[in-house]
Amino acid sequence: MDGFSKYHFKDLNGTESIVKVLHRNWFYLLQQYFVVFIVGGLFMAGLSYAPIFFPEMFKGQYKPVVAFMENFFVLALWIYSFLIWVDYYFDIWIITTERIINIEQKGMFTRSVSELRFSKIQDITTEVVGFLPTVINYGDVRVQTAGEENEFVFRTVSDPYHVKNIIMELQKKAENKKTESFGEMLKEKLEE
Amino acid sequence: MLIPIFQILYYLVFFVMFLMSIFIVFHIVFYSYSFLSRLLMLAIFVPVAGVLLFTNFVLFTSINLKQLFAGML
Repeated sequence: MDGFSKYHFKDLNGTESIVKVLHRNWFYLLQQYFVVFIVGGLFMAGLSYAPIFFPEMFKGQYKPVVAFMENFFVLALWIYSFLIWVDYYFDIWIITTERIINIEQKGMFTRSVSELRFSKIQDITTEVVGFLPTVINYGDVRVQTAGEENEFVFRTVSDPYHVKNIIMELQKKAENKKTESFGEMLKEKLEE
Repeated sequence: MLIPIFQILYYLVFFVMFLMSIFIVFHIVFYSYSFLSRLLMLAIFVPVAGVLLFTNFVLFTSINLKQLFAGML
């Protein structure tokens, strides 16, 4: 648990500790950045070859216009890259000893935080669909709940089978704890 | 007439870019899960975005729009 000391969540209970912090798989991030790489590469190629085909564009009155457009393009690409990063980095699932916390970042203006106690879990399903997800080992973990929000989805997380095992183990522990505390309470009442 | 429209359009886009940068910084500052990652992300994003925004504005103001549009129209 010490490995997670760098994470600081304000709303953890006294006895509660973080077991695992999950982001989407790196391949998801790579897919998102693929467009940026392609556009950036085309831009670099354009910068290298444009003076050969349009030499007059890089001289005289058009020179500042071209410089401005280059700058504008790089600025847009830079901001877009960070928007992708923000969406990836702030989209996380935290498994603690007592519950699952889902923090979902949707673009710049939507952020939702929801949590699920282990006692409310009914069923857990792992989905790894396709060639690349199988090879890289990433997929979805769907947690069916008894609550109002009937499904909790860990999207494109690494090693989904291991995540499922962790949740099931913690759920079992939570159930045992509940039974134990109920037994103790019953014992105390009977002793009275 | 064309020049003021062009200028207004640019200032609008520039403002959106600036606003997006502010939102990115806001998210990094308030929602980061560790101090180190917060510092690292800010150290990468803020100087580059700041320089790009500043140079973008300077480059736009250095364009002689009258001459440019006279040559185009």
